[in-house]
Amino acid sequence: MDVKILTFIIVGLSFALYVGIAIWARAGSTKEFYVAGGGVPPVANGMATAADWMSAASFISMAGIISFAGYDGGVYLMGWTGGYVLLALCLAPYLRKFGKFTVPDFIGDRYYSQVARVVAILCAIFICFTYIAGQMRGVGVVFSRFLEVDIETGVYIGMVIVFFYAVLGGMKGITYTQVAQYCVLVFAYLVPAVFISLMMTGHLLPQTGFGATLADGSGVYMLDKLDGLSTELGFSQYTEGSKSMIDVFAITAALMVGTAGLPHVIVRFFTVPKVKDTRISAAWTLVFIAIVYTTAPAVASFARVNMIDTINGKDGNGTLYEEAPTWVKNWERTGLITFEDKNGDGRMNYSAGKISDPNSANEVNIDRDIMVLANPEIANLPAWVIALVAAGGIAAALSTTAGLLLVISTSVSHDLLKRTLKPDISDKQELLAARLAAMTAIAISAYFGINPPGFVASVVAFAFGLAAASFFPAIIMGIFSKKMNKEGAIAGMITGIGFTAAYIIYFKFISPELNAPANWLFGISPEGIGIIGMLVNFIVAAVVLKLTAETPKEVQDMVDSIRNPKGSGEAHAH
Amino acid sequence: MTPEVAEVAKFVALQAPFSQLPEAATHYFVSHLEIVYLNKDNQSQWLKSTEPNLYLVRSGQYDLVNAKEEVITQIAEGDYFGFPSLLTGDAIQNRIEVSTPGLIYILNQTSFDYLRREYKAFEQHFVRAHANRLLSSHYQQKSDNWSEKKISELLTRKAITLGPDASIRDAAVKMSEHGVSSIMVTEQESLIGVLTDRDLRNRVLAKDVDPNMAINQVMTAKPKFIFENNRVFSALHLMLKHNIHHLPVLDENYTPLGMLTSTDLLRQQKSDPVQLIGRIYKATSVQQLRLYAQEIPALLKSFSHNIDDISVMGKLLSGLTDALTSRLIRIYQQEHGTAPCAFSFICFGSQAREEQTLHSDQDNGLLLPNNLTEAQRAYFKGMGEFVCEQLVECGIKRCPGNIMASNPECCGTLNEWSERFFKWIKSPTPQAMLNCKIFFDLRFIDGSNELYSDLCVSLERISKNELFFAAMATDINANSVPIGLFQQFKLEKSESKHKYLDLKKRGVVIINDIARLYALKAGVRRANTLERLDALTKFNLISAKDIYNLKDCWRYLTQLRLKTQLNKEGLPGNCIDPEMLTSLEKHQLKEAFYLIKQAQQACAFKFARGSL
Amino acid sequence: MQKLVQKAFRYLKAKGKSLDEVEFVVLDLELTGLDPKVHEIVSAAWVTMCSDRIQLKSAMHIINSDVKQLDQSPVYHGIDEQTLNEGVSLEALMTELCDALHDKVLVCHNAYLDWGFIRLNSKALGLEALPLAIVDTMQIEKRRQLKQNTELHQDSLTLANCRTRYQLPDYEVHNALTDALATAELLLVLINKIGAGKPLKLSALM
Repeated sequence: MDVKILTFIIVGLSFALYVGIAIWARAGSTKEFYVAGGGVPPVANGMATAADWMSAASFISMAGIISFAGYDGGVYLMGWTGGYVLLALCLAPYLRKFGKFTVPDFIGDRYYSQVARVVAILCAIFICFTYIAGQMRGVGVVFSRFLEVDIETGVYIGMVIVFFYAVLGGMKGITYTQVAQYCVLVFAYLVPAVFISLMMTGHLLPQTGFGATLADGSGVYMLDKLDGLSTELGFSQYTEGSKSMIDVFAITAALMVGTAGLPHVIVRFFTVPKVKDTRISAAWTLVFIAIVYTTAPAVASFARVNMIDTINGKDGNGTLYEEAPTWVKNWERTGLITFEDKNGDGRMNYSAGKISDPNSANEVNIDRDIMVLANPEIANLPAWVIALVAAGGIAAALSTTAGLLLVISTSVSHDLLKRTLKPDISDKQELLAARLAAMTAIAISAYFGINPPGFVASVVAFAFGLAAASFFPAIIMGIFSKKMNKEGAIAGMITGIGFTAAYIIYFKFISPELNAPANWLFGISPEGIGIIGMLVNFIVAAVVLKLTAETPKEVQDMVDSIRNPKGSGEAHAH
Repeated sequence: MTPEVAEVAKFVALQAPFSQLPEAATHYFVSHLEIVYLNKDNQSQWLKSTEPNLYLVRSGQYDLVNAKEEVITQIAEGDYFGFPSLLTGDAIQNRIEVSTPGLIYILNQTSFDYLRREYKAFEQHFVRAHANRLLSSHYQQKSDNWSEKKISELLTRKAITLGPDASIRDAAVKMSEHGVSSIMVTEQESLIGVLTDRDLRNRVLAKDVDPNMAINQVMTAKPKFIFENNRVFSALHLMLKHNIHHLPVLDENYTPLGMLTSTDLLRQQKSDPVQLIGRIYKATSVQQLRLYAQEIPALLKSFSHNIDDISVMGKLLSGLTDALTSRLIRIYQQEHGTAPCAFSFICFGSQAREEQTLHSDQDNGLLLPNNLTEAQRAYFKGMGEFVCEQLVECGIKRCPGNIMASNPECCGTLNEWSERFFKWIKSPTPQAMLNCKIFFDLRFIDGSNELYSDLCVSLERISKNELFFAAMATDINANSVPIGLFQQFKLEKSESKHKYLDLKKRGVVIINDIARLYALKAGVRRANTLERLDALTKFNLISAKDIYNLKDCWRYLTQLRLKTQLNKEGLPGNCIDPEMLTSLEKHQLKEAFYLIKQAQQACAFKFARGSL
Repeated sequence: MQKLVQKAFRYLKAKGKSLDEVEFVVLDLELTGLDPKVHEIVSAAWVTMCSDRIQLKSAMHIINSDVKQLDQSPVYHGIDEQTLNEGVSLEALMTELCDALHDKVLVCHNAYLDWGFIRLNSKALGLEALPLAIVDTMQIEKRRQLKQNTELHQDSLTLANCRTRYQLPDYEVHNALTDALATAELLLVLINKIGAGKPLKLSALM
């Protein structure tokens, strides 16, 4: 059966599964089930959280980035994993004790200030927007390939699907649907990885195959071969980064603290009734994320080796374009692979440099987002595996998008509209406003998904930087310093945001030609500057705190009570 | 083709449903109209059963008045009337009363039927309008019953007050000046005592007290009182229970508004169930109570024919149970000595919500102060067992979940109760949610009001937890209204293969749950669903329109429930077979379920951010 | 002579009829000017009314395609050459009008003007316009106003101003049919004001 039909069938089946679960969960028959079982088991909740966490960016792009950027790409891996740990350990348990459902609510109450709350809401909306933009592009890539259309149409199709799924489908993040999505996702990620690992290194586990010798009998380590290939083609060595240590550190840290404040994931920690179960499910989530994240570098390098081998040929002289494997032709149709026969020898020649640069020998441009999706095709895996990866990519995008859209729509309709601007709107209007907000979010994200990806990357950097410089310090100080007052927090947030935004805008938009390590502050790139912004935030907050009035007594007591492990006995003593 | 008059067509085309209908519909409507000038002199000519018409107001203002001479609604430009009988064929009972005369467009039945047949949207518009009219008429009927009136409606005189340092003579002078039989003693605007005629007689004259003494020496301190927006029924209940004749009325800020006297109430119509409550409060033995309790079912049955609003039934029955409970507590104290410390007898669930039916079982408990001795515990254990057992004898069944004062778990100190609630709030497991739904509807029956207030304050503080609200909202959404994807009824099947709709579980209960959630969030200390919703109008959590809708739905469903309960056999209680309903009723029912669904979704949205 | 006696007799008989017995034809003509001898009828529109009900089903609006000069009309009444082409001959118009008026009560706002045109045109075509009676809402209103000792201004008796006085809706579109309806509605109000609940005889309106 051909790939297209199989893709339709497998993606269709996965959708049927999600919808079926949603209907079952909504039918009310679950009520008795839940009561009997004492709620959702931690393992299932762990999976659901992992599905929320792992976006199309994780599924599709991360291996792609590592594949192309090598060691440098690892910052995302480390940053995102670290972000999760930070969230699970440092934020979620305290926010839960505080009895607040969202970060803006926490900030608003902790700093007894409506301004602080609104700033936090706007921050949350902005982070979600940029995140969804990434998802839309991911879905667009999947559809463009498997429906054999260009990327733009792919994004439009993805937009419609997400709209129906998340907005018309009631916008409910139902735990068991997320569980199913995680299963599809992880299965889709691992199956090709295991296959390829077996083929290339003879190891069943991609994680061990990654560091093993190649199975072609040459006895060369896989990574050594990759290093060799990279240098040969004019790239920097795969296992050596091109970024400075301080920059890598800064980017990792910025990603980490930036993602820790992701609003849609925090909610998952609150839907588990028992505190003990929350901890267990957080641990499970880490396991489930790790399964995918530890596979990613392996997938990246396998794909890289295979790709270079098939394009440049085993002998490195380039494959005849006429004889190019079908996957090249297929992806060419989406516009994500382009080939220009610059030297006119009819052979494809892949190396470092831009295709548009006449001095470069490179004749092939490959979008890094296709690596995971094209991987099974490159390795000549059976058609059903290819279809499965498509279903996995869509699952990853849907689960995350649904959660993010909920955050945007509730923030706009409830936090901004109902609670701030127009308190007397009816339920119907509120729900309508939510749908409209979600629709707008999808449309704007689709726009970013279609337009130059370099722009999206800048905006993503912007978002994480801002979150790291504003949100995160406010939360941390809110929890761990009972003295911190609203003046300090707001001043800190504003200077943090201002500094970070100015730095990014300067290097990304005003003078992009100066965007080089020599001109950077402390050698930190705009992607990593958020961490400096965070420090600025802390310092300004501390200074302003010294100069302004003290935090009200009851707020201090409240902060004390969340940090103190004293249990319920305290709560109602007179 | 008849030429159409441009001005008429222009006006009609702007009105619903024509704004959504094709031009041809407007043309047909316009060219079949008759125009009349409706004024005081000819107002009785219209709305005749013999000639049903659709009326559309072009100008002027009118009141629609029902057979009981109450204004149902006000009608002005663009409003329709007369359509209910066109839809149902029933005789017309309403009449029109002109405020400002004006022009009316009239369409006869034949033309109306033609449009109804040809254009679905036309029919839907009027069916819906009719449904809305019915819903709001339920609302109107409610205020008929005198015991359902708000206390503020009975208050005629402003509060007569004096400071606590005023002399007894001053008080007597002021009372005779105003011709009243009682005076309120206030300090800084708040009520601290009451002095009545009878006090002057018994505590001053009979004891030969110096009339120059301050009145705070002879007044009744910490008197019972009631809030202005409570129902007359509650006032009556309170007065009978404590055998008092004067009841100060306060507003929400505890500022005295006036005095309600037993004469005020006597002026209102007397009714049997209320007398029975009075008799119960005077009973001196368990045997007597049992005898009175036997009258309840028959009494309610006869009474149910006289009232329109089922919420009164629930209130009466809860009132009767309260009375029985109070009296049993008194009898226990007579037999075993006065209680060794303060206590508070409280009730939960349907009794607290005042929604009790004859089939409801007991849901009650005892609230005791902290630091109890073993002997004191034993005394109250005995009290709980006695009251619950005797209530069973009086026909109120045991609670299958053992939520009864006889259960040691439901006979706890302030801290024990708080601890219990806190555990549920902290870990909102599904089981905890079930408990919350019963225990968070709580009401004071007898004993110490202060103790009960302490519990309320404590609960209010610990329940302010958004994760808990989120869990409740999620729980509410786990129960769905019986409407399918395509607006059809989703029926359940009983063992005997009857297909039915559960109006209580899938309708009324959801509204109760929603009202409870909002009430907890707002800190409204009421248990009754309608009262909770009323109190919520002061907060910005839910719009006035949504509150109105929810109340309407609640009444409509309860009403329908009662109606079918009286009529149908073979179905589980609270259930109906929608095939038995007229198409109009079906439509109304769907409308009600739709509104509930929307409120449910909004809850998930506001409290749980849509995640389930 | 005999005709005159007949007319007088009809007039007396009509006066005694109660309002419920008669049918009103409320008419408005669009004219090119005020002089029946010089100017022409552009269109005629009417609605009928009986037992205090205006029947829109009976509404008629006929345009005279024979009209020669459109001095004033196009601006005021919005009739242009094209609309005229949809009309009928003056003879057909007048035949229809005379049929409609037969044995009915003709109602106009400022009947003197309209009736002048009808009489002249029907005579010229050899037709006979024989309404039962003629009622002029402007005259009724004038009498009412004078009776209340209100000072009358130059345009206080226009149709629009009379309607405003009785809080009838403002009409923006002006053509013969709208004005006919506007007059009919005014008549409804006037009948009510004069009768104040008691049944009226036609004479009360004349």
